[in-house]
Amino acid sequence: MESRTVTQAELQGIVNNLKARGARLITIVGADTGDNIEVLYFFNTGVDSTETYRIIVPKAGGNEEVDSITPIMPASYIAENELSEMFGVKVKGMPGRFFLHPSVNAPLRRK
Amino acid sequence: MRTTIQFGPQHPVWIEPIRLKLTTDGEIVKDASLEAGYVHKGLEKKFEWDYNKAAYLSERVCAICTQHHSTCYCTAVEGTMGLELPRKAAIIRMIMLELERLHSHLLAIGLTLEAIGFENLFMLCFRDREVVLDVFERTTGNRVLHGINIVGGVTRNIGPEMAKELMDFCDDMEKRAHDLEKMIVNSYTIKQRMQGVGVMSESLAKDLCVVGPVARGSNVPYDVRAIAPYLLYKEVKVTPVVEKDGDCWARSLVRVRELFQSIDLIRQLVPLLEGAPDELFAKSKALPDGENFARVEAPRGELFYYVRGKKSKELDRVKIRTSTYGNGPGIVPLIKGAHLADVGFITITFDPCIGCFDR
Repeated sequence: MESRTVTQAELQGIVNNLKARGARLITIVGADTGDNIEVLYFFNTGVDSTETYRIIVPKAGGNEEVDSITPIMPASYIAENELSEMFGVKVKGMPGRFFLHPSVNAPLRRK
Repeated sequence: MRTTIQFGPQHPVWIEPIRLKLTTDGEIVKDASLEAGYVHKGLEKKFEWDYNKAAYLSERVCAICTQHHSTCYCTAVEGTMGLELPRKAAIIRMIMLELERLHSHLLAIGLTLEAIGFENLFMLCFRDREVVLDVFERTTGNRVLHGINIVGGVTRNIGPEMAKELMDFCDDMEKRAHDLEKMIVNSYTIKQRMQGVGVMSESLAKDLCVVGPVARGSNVPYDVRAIAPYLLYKEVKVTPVVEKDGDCWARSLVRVRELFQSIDLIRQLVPLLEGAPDELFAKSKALPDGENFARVEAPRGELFYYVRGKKSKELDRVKIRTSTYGNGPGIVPLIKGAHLADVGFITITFDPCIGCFDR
């Protein structure tokens, strides 16, 4: 699987560009790799073509933050909230709760 | 005067629990918010175990599109192991996928008709669905959870006798689907009730990246079988079924027309079984390593699995993006401005699967 690692600032420009090209968001995937939380953004960009962008967020004791892409792509609303509640990564401007009860904290985050 | 109404989590129109908080002004819904998570099972965490057992676990995500879930999961894992699926196993998987689309669409059409009070036609849809379930029982031994997909292939063959039975089934099902189509498409009452209700424009469908019959009913030809063919979908002819109006009628028509598409695909696939080598399973010496994702077109729309292996039997991370998860953001904009009496009906034309949504 090919993916491109980008910074958070770059991602906003990339998503704007993808939106202008008519790309569709497939989903956002979070993964805990030990020292970092990786966030993968999957886009469908045309017939038989997808693009994957990865941002790496170093763990900072639950104070991690990523920028939201929901203002550009409203389809990411649920995925960003899920990322937030499952991994404890705050997504700016998002309530951060969708599926889980407030008493449950970041169940997919490893110590 | 504005009133707040709790619509759900237990509501007769939905089989599963989901809650809509509606702010109404008289009969018109002015604002809505969606709340899910009532059947959250934490399945993504459970997937971090033996990759062979997880194929069976993936079937349990959704009871309607079990074969789609396990096919998508197995395709993703096979990618991390560099495993090539035997041709016959791919054909058998595809036949099962199309059979499953038939029974899922019959269920969705039936439930939509029940939501508008047409219980008789709902029963007719379910009667026809039973025929598909009987075929599942004959081919896989199970009606709902088939359990034939394993990483590397399938566990059951389709022999020449069963192939003939499948072709006979296609003839019978086509006749039944034509009868249903006549009753639904020519019904003045159903048309009047559905047309112009819950309209999703093409631009909104593109913005919200909705999938499946919801997208195709709004003139967005997004069908994974056509745009990113998996298994052997390159060898068969799949043209996305598209309707232009974007209302409840268009979404239902897409499902009715896709019944014939699935029957046609099964007819194209069964003869391919004859020339395929009699090999159902490819054994791998490697363990899942690295990342991979797979997409399949489930009855409700695009289904996505992301798998990350760690060179051990246990998987590191599995993410499931189901079709209802993709369609979720589309529900609220359609309800805003609708009549209170249409809320349940509009949501049911999305064919929501809350078990999939919450996982």
